[in-house]
Amino acid sequence: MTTTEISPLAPRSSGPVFTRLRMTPPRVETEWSSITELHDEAWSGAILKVAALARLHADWDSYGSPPPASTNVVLTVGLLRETWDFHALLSPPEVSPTPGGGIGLAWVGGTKTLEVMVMPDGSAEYLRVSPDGGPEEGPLLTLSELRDHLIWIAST
Amino acid sequence: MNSGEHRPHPEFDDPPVVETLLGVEFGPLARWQVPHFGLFWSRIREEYPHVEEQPPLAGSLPTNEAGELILRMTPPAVRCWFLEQRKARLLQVQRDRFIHNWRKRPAADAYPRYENLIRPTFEREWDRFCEFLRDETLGKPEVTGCEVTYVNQFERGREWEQPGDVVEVVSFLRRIDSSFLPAFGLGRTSLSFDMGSEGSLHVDLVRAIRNADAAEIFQLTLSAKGRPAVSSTESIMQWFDVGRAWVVDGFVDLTTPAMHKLWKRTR
Repeated sequence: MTTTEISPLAPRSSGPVFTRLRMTPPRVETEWSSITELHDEAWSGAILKVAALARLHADWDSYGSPPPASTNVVLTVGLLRETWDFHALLSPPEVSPTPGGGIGLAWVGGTKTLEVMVMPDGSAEYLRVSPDGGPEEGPLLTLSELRDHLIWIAST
Repeated sequence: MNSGEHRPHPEFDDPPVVETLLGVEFGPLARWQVPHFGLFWSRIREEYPHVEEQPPLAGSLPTNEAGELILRMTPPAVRCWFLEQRKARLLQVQRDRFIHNWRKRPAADAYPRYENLIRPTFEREWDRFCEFLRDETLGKPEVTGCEVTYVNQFERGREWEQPGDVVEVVSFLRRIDSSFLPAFGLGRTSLSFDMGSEGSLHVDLVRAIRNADAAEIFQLTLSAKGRPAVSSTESIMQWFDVGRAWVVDGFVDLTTPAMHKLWKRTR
């Protein structure tokens, strides 16, 4: 799996968040082309499901929703690539398109759930639920925040 | 069987190549220091206005004449990328490497041809680099290896529809007639071919997502690696011609006639 570094996302108030996601791959090959290699693992299956969302037709939900923007597909693939190291701890997320052109990722760990929504404008939000406390939700601003949420759900 | 230098090589009007590189590996320049990247950049900055730092490429493990591993206490290497304005060409420099990459930019870029751009550009930039080393009394590179690599990408919807269709693209896999095994899945296939005294040809086929646009692809990479007879530019360029011949002739053998038609083979 190719690894990349993601810089902290810009503050939510300054505009669409995920469109400011910058990926700077530390290349240790002579090649320049940047790919995410798919291995025979469930996490790769989730990445493929995200990529397939780009092929959704307009009005896929019969309520006039557009398919997710290609930039958001690229960014969501990047999120899964950057969290691939959790594959040993967590099952891959369920992937789904959301009304309006967003992308949803949902992880389940024991009795906890974590949902991440990449919104049509490129921002992202999370919702996490555990039986010990009420639901918690908010903006997702950095990759390290996502990793913290995944550590939370993996520590069941 | 062998790829002769003088017979015509296959050509395509619309080949699936997305990147080529010519690279040289040489003994580490003992006096090369980090400021030299900046000094070299000052000479090429007009043509290569963008610079990026990258982690170093690992070299071959140094050994003595008896084949014993030598432990070298040298500072950690740094690699710099110098990118031209359109970011279609790249020079990679580290204390023991010099590489020129060309990559296809979205849609419009046609493959610029080895003879027209790839080869002469490397030769010009390598000479410029050697001149810089000479002017800065950094020594003459003792070349230990050369590499010619072509990266080809086969896109879903263009070369294939279902992953199992890859057997219609490459000639070294075949559809498995099985009532037990499911359809061909994910993974990496690697092959290598002996180029005799010239080195070896390495082939990798991987299924992947292209990071730039999340397109589903199979990527076929062919890399010829070997050592030129001597360290002169002429000898290096001669080796590149042989390595490139192995790559392009090998590509034709490793892909199917149906795809050659799709890629508009002209020779």
